[in-house]
Amino acid sequence: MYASRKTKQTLLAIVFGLTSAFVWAAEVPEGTVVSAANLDQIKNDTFEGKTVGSMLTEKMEWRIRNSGWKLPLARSKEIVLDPKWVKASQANVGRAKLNPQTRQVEGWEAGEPFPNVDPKDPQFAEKLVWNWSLGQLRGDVAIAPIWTQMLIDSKKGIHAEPIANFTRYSMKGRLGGKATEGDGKELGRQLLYFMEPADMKGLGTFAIQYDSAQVNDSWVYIPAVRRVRRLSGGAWMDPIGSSDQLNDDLEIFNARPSWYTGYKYLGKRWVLAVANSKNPLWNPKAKDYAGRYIGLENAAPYWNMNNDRFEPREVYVVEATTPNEHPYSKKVLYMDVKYPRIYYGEAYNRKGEFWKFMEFHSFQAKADDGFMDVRTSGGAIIDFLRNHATVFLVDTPSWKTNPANFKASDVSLNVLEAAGR
Amino acid sequence: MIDTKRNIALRVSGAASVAALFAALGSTPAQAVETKFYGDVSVAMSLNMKDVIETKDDDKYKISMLRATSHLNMDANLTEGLSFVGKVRLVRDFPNSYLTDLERLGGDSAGHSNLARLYTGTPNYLREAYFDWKLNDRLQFRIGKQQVAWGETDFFQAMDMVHGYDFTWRSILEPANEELRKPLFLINTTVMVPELDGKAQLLLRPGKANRKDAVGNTIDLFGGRWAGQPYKGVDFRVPLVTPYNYSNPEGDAEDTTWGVRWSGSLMEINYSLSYLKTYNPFPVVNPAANMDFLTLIGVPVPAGTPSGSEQFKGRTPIGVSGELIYPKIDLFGLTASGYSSTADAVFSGELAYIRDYAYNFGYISGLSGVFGPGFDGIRQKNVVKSMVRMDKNLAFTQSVLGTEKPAFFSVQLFDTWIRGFKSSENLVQAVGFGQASKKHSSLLTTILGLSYANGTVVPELVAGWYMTYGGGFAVPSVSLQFGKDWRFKVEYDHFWNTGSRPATPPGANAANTERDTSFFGYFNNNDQLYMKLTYQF
Repeated sequence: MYASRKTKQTLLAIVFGLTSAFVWAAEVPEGTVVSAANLDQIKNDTFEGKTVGSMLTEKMEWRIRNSGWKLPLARSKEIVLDPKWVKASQANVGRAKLNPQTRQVEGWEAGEPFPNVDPKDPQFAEKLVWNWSLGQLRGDVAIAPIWTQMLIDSKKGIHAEPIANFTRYSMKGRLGGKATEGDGKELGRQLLYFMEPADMKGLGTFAIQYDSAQVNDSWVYIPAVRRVRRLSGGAWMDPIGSSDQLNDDLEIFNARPSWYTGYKYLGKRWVLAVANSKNPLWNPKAKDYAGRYIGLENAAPYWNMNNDRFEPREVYVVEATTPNEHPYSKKVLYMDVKYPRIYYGEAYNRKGEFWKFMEFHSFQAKADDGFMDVRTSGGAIIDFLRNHATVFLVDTPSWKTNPANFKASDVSLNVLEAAGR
Repeated sequence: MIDTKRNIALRVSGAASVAALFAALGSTPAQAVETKFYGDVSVAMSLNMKDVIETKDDDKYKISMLRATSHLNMDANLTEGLSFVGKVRLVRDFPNSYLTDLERLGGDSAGHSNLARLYTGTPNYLREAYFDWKLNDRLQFRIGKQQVAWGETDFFQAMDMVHGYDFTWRSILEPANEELRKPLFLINTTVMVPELDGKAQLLLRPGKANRKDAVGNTIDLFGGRWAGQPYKGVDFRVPLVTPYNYSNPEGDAEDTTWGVRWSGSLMEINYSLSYLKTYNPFPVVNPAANMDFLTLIGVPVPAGTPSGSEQFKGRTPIGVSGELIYPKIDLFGLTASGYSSTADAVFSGELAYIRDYAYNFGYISGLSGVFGPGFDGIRQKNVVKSMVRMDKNLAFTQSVLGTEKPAFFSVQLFDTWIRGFKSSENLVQAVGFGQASKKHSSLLTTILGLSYANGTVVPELVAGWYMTYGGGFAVPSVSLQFGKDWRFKVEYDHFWNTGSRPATPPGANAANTERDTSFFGYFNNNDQLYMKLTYQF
């Protein structure tokens, strides 16, 4: 009798559970905003067939519940892989190798060095990071003439909004003509200089990245003394200016992969991320908050890019172990499985405590020469130990990829000096 | 910063001439002129932290400087390849009781006996106004009033001698050299040579297109707050003493001077080679050959009584006792800088061979006996000035001092080597002060910069030690940022020395007795507490 009652109860529970699951697993419509207010209600609901909760990492859910993050859901859109890039990537199959002794890639010319990398490959995680490092869909030259690196306090809001110009020029891995410019030693060049505020105008850096383990050569122009000074090559793991991000954090991972001591593949999963961002997220010409900071919510902690399109993306999760001198002990990267892009990063301090959350938003656009590139519309590096963030927002309408007649000499020490007038 | 992007039809009254200029430059006037205006307004105040010995009153805690400054800058892209930059600095130095005391003693007696007015007028309001014209990828010109910095170091003038520095601004304490350089009208041509990973730069300074007083360094010889002890309240420019003579043929400011520099990169080392025809950085006194000035101040001596001083290349000075001149020099320079991964540090070096560097010398002439050492005459020497520097980021400050990033640390060692040195010549370092120069003299400086709270709190310590002559300085400071636009800095300027001139008035025999006042002795009792509030736009 007792057993019979127990069985009935169990059956009832199963039936009730199934019914509940059926009711709670409703597909939520596009535009639903995932927030602390409704997370418990919609966590088990689905979007594009996957439960909302399953597309939130532990840290994402923590941010939503505790730090005002809101994720408006949007239908996922395929990223178009440019045929030139696909062809160049496929050409690396069987040719590009990751030398286990030097930890450098050999035989790569352009595109992704390891397009068909297999999770069973013992070098799988490291090769994913190399795909990001060498194979990004960013064009031979990418110019963001106007962007801001805002410093944001969780209570006081934006307390600095310097405006800068940034240019990246690939010396290797080029897809518009010869794959390599110069003698093959340089991988690329980066030029950054500030245009505002007055006490930063002209301040800038120029860096040469090498296609080897050699650290970058970099220089800074200091307007107050009208002079260029060489910078330490070890600066790759130092903060950029007074921001919350390290040089290494630019678009979440900006180091030569071999400078890290190792990588571990943690698995594959889905996350809600911004791969087809609204743009622009920032309009420097607008004066009012809503018009200027289009992507940001004007509420504490002020760094949340809550007004964007979060879509389901399948990602690889890779743990990157830093060298001993690095301020982080490790970084966890969430990388799209379809193309080289990192949406999120988590940085942990030397005590193993969660320290920073990194979030980058991107969109696809057609370059001047027709190349389909991926551009950053905004990014945040949030220091949760200090409750402070650095948020990048790009004036995307002014972005240029692969403009005609742009040369390596346009990204040089001379240009840095000239910009410093 | 005000950003205006306006469609301007260039309908100005001089439209024809502007069009002609564009035509001559081979460029098409732009449909849109992009112009930026930006700048700042600041108020700076210094307090004396010691009693200045020249005055009767206790000067401790008295305001020595209260100054309002505004920088107004314009940056305009006129056409593809042609742009214009204009920079104006407006200054108002306010009178105060301390400056009034110095005026009573004789400060600015060669002018209006108004030091605040002098300080207000000393800076050139139009700091820069030049066109940048990029003719093609190889050739570009910068024409107009501008600043050019050569060399590696910011503190010690070895190669940075294209311009004179105006040290009356805030002596050696101003970190922004752009405030100190006396801008020049220059024709500045650059030829890019990417094949050699470098560029050639040719500078031409038309002498007649520039102010005469733009050559050489301007130091406080008018008895103001930065005059060396004990010369506060003493104006050396009066005709009776040593007025400036910018027309002495050995240092005629109207002569055209020039320089050429090659800079490039080789094996990841940045380097430069340069030659510059310019003027002695510091003024020297070309003394009178007689003691006639004594008669003018009521001490009867026969006219033409020899002073025992040598006139420089036989040139009779324009002042009764002498004249201040900047003889011309030739400067050959070499710089290099590179990163060492072994030391994880950047090493830089600078070497300047200066031909005909001018020193005052001697203690024995009648004028030296009255005015102080160095009035025996001028000796020109070939001098080698060198600098080695190490810049290193100190990561341990993050754990030890809680900085948000590795501290910036820089150490610089400077050396001056006087070629053909003879100790018997008694070359002095500055006229009026007794320390004889040595064959080698070395100075060590360090900078330690920390950062907290996302750069809103930036403590810094700058210090220096004159290893050869003794003495030094230490300048701790804290810079604060308040929001996007407000900045505040407070610093303490401390000097020490191993010898200084006593408080005897000029003319007393004691002036000729001391032999141990070197560079930092000039700053005796000149400690300052400095504060500056800036609003930028």
